Amino acid sequence: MQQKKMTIAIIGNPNTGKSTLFNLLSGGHAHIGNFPGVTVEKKVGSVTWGDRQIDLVDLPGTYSLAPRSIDEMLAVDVLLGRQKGVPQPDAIICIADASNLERNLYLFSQILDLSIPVVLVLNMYDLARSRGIEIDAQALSQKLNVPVVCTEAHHAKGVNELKAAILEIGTGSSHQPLALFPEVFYAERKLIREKIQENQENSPPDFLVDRLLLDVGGYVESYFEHHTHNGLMDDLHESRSRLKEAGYAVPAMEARMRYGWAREVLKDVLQHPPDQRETASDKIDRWLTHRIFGFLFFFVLMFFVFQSVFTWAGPAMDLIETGQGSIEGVVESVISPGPLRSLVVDGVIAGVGGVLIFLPQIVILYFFIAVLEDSGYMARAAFIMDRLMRSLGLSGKSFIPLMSSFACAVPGIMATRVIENRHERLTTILVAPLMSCSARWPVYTLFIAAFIPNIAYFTIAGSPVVTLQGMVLFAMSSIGALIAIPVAWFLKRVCFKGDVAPFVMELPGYKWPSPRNVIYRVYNRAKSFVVKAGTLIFATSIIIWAAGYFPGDHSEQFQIQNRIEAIDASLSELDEQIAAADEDKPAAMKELESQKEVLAAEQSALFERQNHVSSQLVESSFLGRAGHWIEPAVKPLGWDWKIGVGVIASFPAREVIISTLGTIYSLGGDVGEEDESLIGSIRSATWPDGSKVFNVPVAISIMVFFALCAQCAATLMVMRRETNSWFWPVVSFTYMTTLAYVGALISYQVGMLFI
Amino acid sequence: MTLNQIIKGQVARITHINGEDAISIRLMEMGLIDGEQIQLLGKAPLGDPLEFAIRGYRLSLRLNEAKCVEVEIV
Repeated sequence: MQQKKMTIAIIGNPNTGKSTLFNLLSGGHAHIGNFPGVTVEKKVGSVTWGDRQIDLVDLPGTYSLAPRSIDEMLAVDVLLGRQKGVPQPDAIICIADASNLERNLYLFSQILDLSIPVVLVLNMYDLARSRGIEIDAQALSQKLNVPVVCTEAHHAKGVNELKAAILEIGTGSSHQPLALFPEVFYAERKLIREKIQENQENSPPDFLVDRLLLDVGGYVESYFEHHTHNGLMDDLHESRSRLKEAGYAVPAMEARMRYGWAREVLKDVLQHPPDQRETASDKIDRWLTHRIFGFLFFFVLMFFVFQSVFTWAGPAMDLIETGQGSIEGVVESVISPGPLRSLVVDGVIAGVGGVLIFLPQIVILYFFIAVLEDSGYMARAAFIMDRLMRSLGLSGKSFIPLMSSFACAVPGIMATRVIENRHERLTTILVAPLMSCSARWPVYTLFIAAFIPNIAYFTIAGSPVVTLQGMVLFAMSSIGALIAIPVAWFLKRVCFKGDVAPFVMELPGYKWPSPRNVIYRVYNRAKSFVVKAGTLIFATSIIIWAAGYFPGDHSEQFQIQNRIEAIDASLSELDEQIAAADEDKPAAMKELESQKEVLAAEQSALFERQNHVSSQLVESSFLGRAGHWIEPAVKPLGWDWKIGVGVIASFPAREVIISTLGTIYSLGGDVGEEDESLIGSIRSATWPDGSKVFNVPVAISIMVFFALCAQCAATLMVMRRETNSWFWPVVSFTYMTTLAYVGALISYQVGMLFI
Repeated sequence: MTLNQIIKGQVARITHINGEDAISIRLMEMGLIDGEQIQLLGKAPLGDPLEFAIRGYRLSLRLNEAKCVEVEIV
């Protein structure tokens, strides 16, 4: 007989190992998506245990089921079966930290009020035991009348027992709500319910009426305030004051009742060691949050992380670059010059390779973040940085995401998931792309090398320590972070007004990170980076390629390319002949040498012609036309149409500017940022009237534009995914492009005053 | 006195949580109930936030939030 499919919700406090357990239970086969209309992520894992089909739904970590925002309401809606697209759970798995059971039972007691079958999981059981905490799980199970399972998710222990408990519960045992509150409360609940029904609202579940009464200023109260007009709010206030007179003041009553219950439940079940004030974790903490040593350790650690991201990633990035080059070589030997080859080489390989090159940095950064999170240090980093971050209107929890954004905003924005407060999270997401990511470096390097004189201000033992070029590079890398201060301030004070996020944060005990967990997280992030960013970059690079390719006539270009490659072949043939030739026959040797010279001369003439043709093709392409079209807009920035084209082409990814400038300045697209000939052509580029296009203010204006502009389609796509809305990427793009334009305008106009 | 005034290592008993706003509700949910004992373990390097021991776990609060909690020294 085919049994009904079961839906099981997983809920628990933050830091209880919930995700690790979810991954173990779902076998890593989870579908990740957003709930319709909210920022919260939905993780569903479909598994088959025995003959049962089970959908596991992972809910966001929470301390309580008292919703204060639409995101928190979501967990409640799923549990009550009110969320569209998610069937009401047949059972709940409530994960609790075994070493911190009393507080974790608070949420559990609220779950009991839902009257849905539940399994209580005591996770991190090993950690609790190592602290001398003894729990009699069987006695606890009897007392609560629900199954209790002990697990160590970090070591994948207890999972089979948990599966068995869930399958057993699926056959139907249920429990009564706790009914912790005094008679008078339930009398008031009845009155309020009648009042709601009078308004012809569908009768809400008991749990929601409780929330309406108990959560002063909560989400449920503000919902009813907007949806009822029969004086329900007045009745509510009266009910609350009657409760207060009876000695059960809201909201303190709920916490007191539930914690009283938790203590009662644990009385004979849980044994604490006699003195548990100072643990090993506390001793480590005294050092790692120490006034001087704590700061020192923090900054040394951050420096080490960044240094590692850049130095360790180097060889892997070189490898990817070489691989990209050899794939191009293979394609070029297989496909003859034509639109197809151009699409594959200049569009697909260049575009996708340009993104994959950042993968090593992201993997290394994510390795460190996973280790820091799993060990418990991340909470301390937020603790240490909170005071500084608060001056930006953010909290310590924003520090790590913003720090990651210096490598790449894509993982940085993904790291904002640790921020529970919605407005704080959005503010962090919106300023993250201002942090100077590594994709901006090629732009800085090129223009600094070309236009900023290499003056040393301070030397130690003959080697320059402080140089003008270094200072400009530092200024460009920090300008975004500086601009982020007023932007964050504006967002917090003007757009998200009156929303003060409390910084009530648990500091979990230190522990050794689990390799399984670290690898799993790094793998997942890397995969999602490659898939999401890769598909998008793939698409946009084809679009940009097409815009720069059509509608020109490329036949001459291909003829030249064919001829160049033919000459290449002849030249290497000649080289072989020369090497094989008999040295005693100087006449034959001379003949070969002169043949070679003729061919080389023809080839270099062809190269020149090819570059000329290519640049004309770019100028007449859609991209080139767009460049001319926007010339009036970019002229006040000191730019000509060619720079305009470079900037337009760079909107999907800023690194594109180098190859675009290379193409436009008749050098072919295959140039690097340290290419001497590119620097030379840029220096000698002129306006039609013969005056120089580039000078220091123009270079600064371009760099400032690149420092502030949202030229990264991958970032905008991740933003869309993380906020589940197109609104925020559009806001981000608009405000950053405006900032970039104004910044470039000021740099150029002010700069010209000094020339 | 309030919780932000106790010194490092001191153990205090909570007597009352002021306010009915989101912050005070959150504090109660985290187990800061009248009659409960709480100890100040240390401060962040810049003096804020603070780290407390309560109900066998470690909780961090800002000075501003600690101000909502009335305590008496044990």
